[in-house]
Amino acid sequence: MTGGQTGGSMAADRALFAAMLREEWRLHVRLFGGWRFAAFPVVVAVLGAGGVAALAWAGVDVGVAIAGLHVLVFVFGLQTGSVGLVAQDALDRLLGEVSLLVATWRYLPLTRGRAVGAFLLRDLLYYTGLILLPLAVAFVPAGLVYDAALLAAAPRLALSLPATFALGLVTTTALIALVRRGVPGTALALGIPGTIGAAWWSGLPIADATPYGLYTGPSVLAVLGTGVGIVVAATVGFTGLGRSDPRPARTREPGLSALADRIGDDRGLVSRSLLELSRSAGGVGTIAFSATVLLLVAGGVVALVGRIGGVDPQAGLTFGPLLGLSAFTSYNWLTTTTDAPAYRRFPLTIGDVIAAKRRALAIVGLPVGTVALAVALVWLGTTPVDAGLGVLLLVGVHQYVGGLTAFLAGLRPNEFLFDTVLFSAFGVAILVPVAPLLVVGLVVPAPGPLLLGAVAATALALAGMGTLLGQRAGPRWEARYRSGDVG
Amino acid sequence: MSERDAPAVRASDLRKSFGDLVAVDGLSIAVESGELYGLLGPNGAGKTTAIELLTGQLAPDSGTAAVLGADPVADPLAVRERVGILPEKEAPPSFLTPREFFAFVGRVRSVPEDDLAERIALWTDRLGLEGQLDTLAADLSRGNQQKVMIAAAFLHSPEAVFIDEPLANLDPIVQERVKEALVEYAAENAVVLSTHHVEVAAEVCTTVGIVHEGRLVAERRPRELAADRSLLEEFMDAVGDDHAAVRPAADGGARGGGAPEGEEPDEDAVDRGADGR
Repeated sequence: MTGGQTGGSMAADRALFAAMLREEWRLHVRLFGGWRFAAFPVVVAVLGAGGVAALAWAGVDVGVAIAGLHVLVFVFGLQTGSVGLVAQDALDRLLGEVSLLVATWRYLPLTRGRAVGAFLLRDLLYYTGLILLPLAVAFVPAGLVYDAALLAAAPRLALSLPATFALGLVTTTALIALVRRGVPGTALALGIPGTIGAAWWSGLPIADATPYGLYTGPSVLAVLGTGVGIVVAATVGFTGLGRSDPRPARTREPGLSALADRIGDDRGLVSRSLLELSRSAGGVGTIAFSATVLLLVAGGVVALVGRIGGVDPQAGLTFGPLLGLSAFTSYNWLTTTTDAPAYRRFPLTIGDVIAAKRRALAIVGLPVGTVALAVALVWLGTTPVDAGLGVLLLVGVHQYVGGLTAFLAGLRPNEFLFDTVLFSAFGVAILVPVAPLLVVGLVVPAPGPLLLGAVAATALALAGMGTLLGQRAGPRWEARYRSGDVG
Repeated sequence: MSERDAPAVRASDLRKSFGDLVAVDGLSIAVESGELYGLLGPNGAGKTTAIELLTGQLAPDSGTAAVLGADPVADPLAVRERVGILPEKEAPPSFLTPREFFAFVGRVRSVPEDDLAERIALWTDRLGLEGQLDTLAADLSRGNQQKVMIAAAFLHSPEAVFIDEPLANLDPIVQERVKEALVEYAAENAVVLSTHHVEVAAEVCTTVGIVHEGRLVAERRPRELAADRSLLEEFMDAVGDDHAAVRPAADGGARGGGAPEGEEPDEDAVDRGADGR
C-alpha cells in the first residue's frame, strides 16, 4: 500500500467516524429532543454523587465500592460489546427501514472491519461522555464535603473507567469473533479468560495490569497491560466481525408453520419473532449472553455487599429479582430486527405485535433466567423456601420488567437508554419495587415468615402489574403510530 | 347511497399534517370496482401518506373515508383485513424465507391452506420466483424481494389493493407481467396505484389523479385524452413550473417522461420527523 493510499484510508476513517458521531447525535436528538438527550450525563452525575455521598456518610469503605464499580463497568462494556452483533446485521442491511452509516462500506472505499471499528469507537465515546465521565465527576462533591481522597479519585476514575469499559467492549467482540472460527476459536475464547481467571485466583496481581490498576496506582504495568489488552482484543474482534466470507444464499426448511402449530400460535407472530431471533447475528445466544452478564453483575454485587456488610446473602431472594431484570435485554434482542410499520400493512395492531413479543420473551427469556438462577443457587447454596421464592421473584420481576419496557418503549427499547425522562422513569419504576427486595435478600440474615410472605406477595403483584402494563402498551403505541408521532 | 352502490374506495376532504408540514390537504377521490386508479405526483406530493390514510395506518386530522364499506378511521383493522397493501421501499422480513413469509401472511389473513398454496403457486409462476422460495429474504436480490412483496399483497385475493411503486427494481419482462396482472386484477376489483412514473400511469390506469403538495389538482382518463395531448403534458400543466426540468425534449421524443421504469424510486413518504432506527 502506498503512503498516499494509507493517507486516503485514514482520511476516510476519520470522515466516517465524524459522520457516525453526527449520526448518533442527530438520531437521539430526533428521538428525544435535544435537552432530553443532553441532560442525560447531568442526571447520571447527580445520581452518582448522591450514591457516593451516601456511602461516605455511612462510613462505608468507598475503595471497595470503587472496585465494584470497575467490575460493573467492565461487565457493562461486555454487554455493550454485543452491539457488534447489531453492527453485523447493520452491515448487511438487515435492520429494517433505517440505513446506518456502518453500511456504507458497501459503496465507499472502506472495509467492513474498519466500519465496525468506527461503530464501536463511536459507542465508546458516547458511553464515556454520557455515563463514565459523569460517574467520575460524581466523586467530586463527596470529596469536597467528606473526604479529600475521593476528590483525588475523580481524575484517576476519569481514566480508568473508560479504559475498563473499552476493555469489556473489545473483549466481547473478540470472543464473538473467536467463537465464529469454530472449535479452535471457541477453545481459545474459553481458554484465555479461563487462564487469566485462574491466574487471578492463584493470587497473581492480575488486577495491577488491568485498567483498575490505572486507578489504584498508575504504573507502567497498568498502562502496558491495559493498552496491550485493548489493542489485541480489538484487533481480533474487528478483524473477525469485519470478515465478509463469500457465501451462497442461505436457504432454510420451512419452519414457521410447524413452530406456530407446536406452540399454539394461530397468527404466527410469536413464531416469526422466535425465528427472526434465532437467525439474526448471535441468535438465541444473545439472550444467554445477556443473562450471563447479569449473573456476573449479581455475583459482583453479592460479593461486594458481603465484604462491606459481612452478611451472607439469601441466594434466591437476591438473584431472583436481579436475573428478572434480564427481561429488558432479552426484549431488546427480540425487537432488534422488528420493523413495526411493516406489521401495520396487515390487519394487526401494534398491540398484537407487542403481545407476541412478550410471549416470545416468556418462551426464551424465562428458561434462560431460570438456568442462570439455578447456577447461582448451586454456587451459593440455598434452602427450598429460598429457592422457591427465587423462582417466584424471577418470574414476577421478569414479567414486570417486560411489561414496563413495552409500555415505555414500545418496540424500540434500545432507543430510550439515553432519553433522560424515559430512562429516569424506567429507573425509578425498577428501583421502587426491586430495591426493597434486594435489601431483604442481601442484608436481612434470616427473614421471618411474615417478611417472606410479603416478598412472595410482591412477586405476584409485580407479575400482575407487568401483565397490566403490557396490555396497556398496545393501545398506547398503536395511537402513537396512527397519529404519525412515530413511524 | 347504499353500500352496494358506493365506490370501493372513497376519500372526502382528507387532511393530514405532521407538525407544520401539510402532507395531505383536502384530498377527495372515488375509485369504483373495476377501476385502476393512479395517484400520480412528484416526490413528496403526499401519495404515500394518502394510501396510509386510506388503509387506516394513519389517522387523518379531518375528513372521511370508506374502503369496501369499512371506515379506515373508525375501524382500520376491518379495512386492512379486506385490502392488500404493497408499501413502497419495503422488503420482506430479512430472516424469513419467502415461503415462510407467505405462510405468515396466510395465517394473519386467515387464508385456508389449500387456497394459500394455490395462490403462492400462481404468483410464484407469474413473477418467476421459482427456486427462491426457501432462500432467506436477506439473501434475495432487490428485485426478488419486490416480487415477494407483490405476491404477499395479493395472497388473500382482496377486493381492493393499494400499491406503491410496484415496478421498482424489477426487470423489464417482470414489469410487463406485473402491469398485465394489475390490469387483469383491476377488471373485477379496485386498484389504487401510487407512482411518479407518468408512462406507467398512462399505460395501465383507467383514471389518474394528479397529486401535488397534498392536493388533487387534476383527474384525467388517459384513454380519453385528445390525440395531441399526453398525460405528461397534463401532468406538467397541473403541477406547474416546479417540475419543468423533466419536460420532454423539444423534439417531443418522450411521451412518458419521469424516471425510467425499474429505477429505485425516491422516497415519496413525506419526511415527518418520525424516529429512526
